[in-house]
Amino acid sequence: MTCDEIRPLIAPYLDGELDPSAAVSVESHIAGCEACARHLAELRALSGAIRDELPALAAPDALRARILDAVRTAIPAAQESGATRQGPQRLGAEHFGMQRGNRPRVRPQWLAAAALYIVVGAGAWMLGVAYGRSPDSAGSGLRDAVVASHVRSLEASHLIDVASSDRHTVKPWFDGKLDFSPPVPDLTTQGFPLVGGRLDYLDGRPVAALVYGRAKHVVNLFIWPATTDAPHDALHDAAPATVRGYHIRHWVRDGMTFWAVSDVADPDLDSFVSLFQASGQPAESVR
Amino acid sequence: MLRTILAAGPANEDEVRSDAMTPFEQAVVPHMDAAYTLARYLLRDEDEARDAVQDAYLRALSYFGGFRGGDGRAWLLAIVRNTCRTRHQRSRTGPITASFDEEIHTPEGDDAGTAPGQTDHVAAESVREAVGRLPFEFREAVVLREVHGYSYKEIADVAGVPVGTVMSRLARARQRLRDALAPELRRRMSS
Repeated sequence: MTCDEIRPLIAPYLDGELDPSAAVSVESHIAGCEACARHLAELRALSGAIRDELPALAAPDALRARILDAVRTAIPAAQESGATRQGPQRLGAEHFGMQRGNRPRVRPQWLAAAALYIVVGAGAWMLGVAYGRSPDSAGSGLRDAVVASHVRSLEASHLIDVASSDRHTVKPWFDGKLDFSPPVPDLTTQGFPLVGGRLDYLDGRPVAALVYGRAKHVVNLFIWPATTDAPHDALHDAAPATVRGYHIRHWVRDGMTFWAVSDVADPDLDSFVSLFQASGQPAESVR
Repeated sequence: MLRTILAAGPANEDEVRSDAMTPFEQAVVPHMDAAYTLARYLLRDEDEARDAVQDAYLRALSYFGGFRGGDGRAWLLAIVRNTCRTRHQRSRTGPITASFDEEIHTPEGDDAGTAPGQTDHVAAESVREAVGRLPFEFREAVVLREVHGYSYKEIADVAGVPVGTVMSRLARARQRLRDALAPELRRRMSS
């Protein structure tokens, strides 16, 4: 390839955005082209300079305290009485106005906006609670939410955040994104190749979604810590269910709650569940 | 056993309430440092940055019902970004005017203000200044890429534009920075 073709690929190469074959083209070109090699070196130096001189910052303690305070006051206050007892104006004034003593500018319209956010937000949060927080034994609300997540994941380009058939790639990917480490067994030889993983949001919290393939079908397996401390190795299987044509299996083990959803045939999903459970990979909480 | 303990900062006693963590506290609150970092580098003024983060959290609280999972950090940063954008436009021109057009945008006259920071470090000042002089959309692409380590797709989600636009903004931003920082980059490449 010519320099003109390679040049626009050098920054994406540096940013790790090229697919492997394009990356190889860039590397082999650069090995024999001083000008393009210099371009890469310059971009690399620029990247280093920015990273050195614009470090990640910590939010100031006072700001952190103010926000945490507001969040915690807003939520229970609204829970209690739809935010009427505490009075939105008082919330706004206390948590966002008064403590900014070093800033003489008073902006009443801003406070009013703040109060509105809190009221609306608290309402939205309560809806979330009512909808998402069903117990582990699974009300139909959570079951429907699991199916909805499955359906959404099948829409274009939403299925996986990390595409890999290697569990040693998928498992570490969740580190730092979740406060637990999901089990990621390799079931390729048993006919369920790992396709990848993604973050999803269910039951009012971020959860791990593992994606396994079965012929042209997809199995989504959602995993998150059980809300009640299940006895060690307890295994209570909920009755198999079918919602909108999707089969669902739910179980709890090692303090984790599992939901498998797929359009594969019922016996196939059963065998997936047994294989997964038999793989014996424990889940771990981290942090 | 599986309690959620978030790295939400200094553990003074009223923050250790891991048993009763709400979804909002789990998904959004832990990303306050990332939010502040973005606001601090997008806005010129430290007070402005604090106000923007606070404002963004209030908005986040109100929009949280619409949060459908995924990356809480990206979701929050998109709100922070929009809050900063609004403040930035207001501070520059008063009422919000025509939308940004990078084809006709010129380097002169945009964000001629100085970047914040100490003056005891020449290199830091010049790099920060150069980044601070970039147009808002270029600056956010650079900060999200280099400081937050975001992929093109993640930047696109935060900025609300296609990936191709992110690539073009990054390329143009880097071209300007390479021109502005040529001596500094030569020094780095030779050392």
